[in-house]
Amino acid sequence: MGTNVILDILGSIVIFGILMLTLFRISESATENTYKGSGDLVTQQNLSSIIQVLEYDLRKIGYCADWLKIPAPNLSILHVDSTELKFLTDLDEDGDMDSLFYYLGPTSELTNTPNPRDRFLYRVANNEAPVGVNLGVIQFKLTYFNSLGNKLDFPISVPGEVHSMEIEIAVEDVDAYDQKYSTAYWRQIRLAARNLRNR
Amino acid sequence: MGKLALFLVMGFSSMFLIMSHNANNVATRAVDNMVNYHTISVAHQIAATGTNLAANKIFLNNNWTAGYSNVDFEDGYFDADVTIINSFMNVRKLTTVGHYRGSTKEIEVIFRPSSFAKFAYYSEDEGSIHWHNGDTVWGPWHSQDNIRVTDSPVFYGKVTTKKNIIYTNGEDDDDPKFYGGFETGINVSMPGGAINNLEAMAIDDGAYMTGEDTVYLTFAGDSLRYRTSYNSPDTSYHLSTLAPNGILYANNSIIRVKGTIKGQYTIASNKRIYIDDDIVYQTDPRINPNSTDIFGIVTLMEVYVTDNPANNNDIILHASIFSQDKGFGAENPGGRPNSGGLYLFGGIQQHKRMLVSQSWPAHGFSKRYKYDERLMFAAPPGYPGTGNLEIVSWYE
Repeated sequence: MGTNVILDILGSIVIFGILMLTLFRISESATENTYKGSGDLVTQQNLSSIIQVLEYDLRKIGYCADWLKIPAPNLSILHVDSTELKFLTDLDEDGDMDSLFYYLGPTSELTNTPNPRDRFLYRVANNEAPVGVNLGVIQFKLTYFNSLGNKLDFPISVPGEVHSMEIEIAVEDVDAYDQKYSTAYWRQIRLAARNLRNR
Repeated sequence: MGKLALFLVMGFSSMFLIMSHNANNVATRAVDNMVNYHTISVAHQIAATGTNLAANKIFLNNNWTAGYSNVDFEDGYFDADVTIINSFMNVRKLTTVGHYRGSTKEIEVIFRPSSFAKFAYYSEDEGSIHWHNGDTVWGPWHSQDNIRVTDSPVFYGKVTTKKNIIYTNGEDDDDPKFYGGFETGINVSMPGGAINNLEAMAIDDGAYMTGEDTVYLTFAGDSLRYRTSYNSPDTSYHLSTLAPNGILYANNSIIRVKGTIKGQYTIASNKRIYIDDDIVYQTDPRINPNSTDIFGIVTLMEVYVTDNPANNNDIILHASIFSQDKGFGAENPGGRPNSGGLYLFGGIQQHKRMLVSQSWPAHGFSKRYKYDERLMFAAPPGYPGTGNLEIVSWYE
């Protein structure tokens, strides 16, 4: 009898232990999944926001509400590099030309975030001071093509040669459970700013 | 023990419910994101399609203003509306709106009549001329012929051709630089009645000269010195009185011209036009961008740089030149001495390219052509138009 009681108690302890372990495992898994799901969503939202702004801006390369102020739209691109693009546009549609500069900052600017790869993607209008917003961009890669469809090698000394571009953006969350970062990737195969072909 | 099991089951069930609710919520929002981007993108594509269809209608018929209403496309629809925003200059705006599942996207395109003056270089017939290393062209370039390239000529403006590009050494070895873009299949033919239009405008409110074999025109700022034979004295006229609309037409007369241009003028003839000496703007737009001086030379025949002592040591020519049936060149290119540089600031539109030198540097000019950027949006009075509308602004 005494032995049976001890066995019952031991059995109960084992079962309770298994249940608790399962519970802890489920809890951990649930936490991880919640973080991952939220991370995926935030990453996707960040990417979606970035590309909508990018598409909006880049489609307006060479646009000016007062078209007489931009007689040669092919001169609208001022500077290009693999992670940099500066061009003329009319940001507030007031008929005055503005310059817009996109460039990717270094990872060293965001050492305070757990993600070692995230960077600022800067959007600088005219001569404003650059202000970084961390949306977890880890890649902003630009590839340029001339009007014959040939890929242009860097450095590109005459930006006017750019006729279309390929844009690649990858975004990760700035913090993640157990450093398992969610990644969202977007690529525009050919973005041809229509105004570059005017006239 | 039974209660504990019940609590456990309820606890786990609650936990799973919360987890699945969160997971579903995340999934739903993620799909929302994707759907939202998709609908915006599709609405934009529908608007772009509608714009392309409407633009094609406008190119085929410049007076097309019917537009589109509720045209179904890719499970959405688009509307297009054409309005004339400047009837005098015939500037038109096409507004297309694409609709797709609650999202709308709008594209606005502005068209204006296209002038030949915008071309830095235009030819109907390129002959066998090749553009090669060292050739640099600023401003729009067009030919109704093939463009033949050798090595790496540079074109800073947009290059268009009705036909094709021909590589001398093959596509892998020749590397033309089209910094302003390149398009084939673009048909911009010489207008048949360009000279007649200018004649009518000169009769209407310009200066119409007829019955002379040759007219000698010397522009001198506000005035024009005029004579009809080499040795006769000049008669001076105030230009704004002589040609209020800025057009001077010599019917069946050779024109010999030189001088300083102040204002906007076009000289035209159905005969040859000779440039006897420098033609310069009183205010050079490269020095003063506010300059409104602009000059056009339009003829049915050749435009020649005269073989005379005045032109044997450089010539400066500020003008846009249009030769409908012939071309622009130097008189006696193989017989004249080395004449220095031909400093053209403007553009040339011609039927066929002609010589300005032969056996250079023995005879003729070296070409020093620079495009007048103002010609992208301004033209000398009455200057021939292409008969087409061109897109000058695309907003999306």
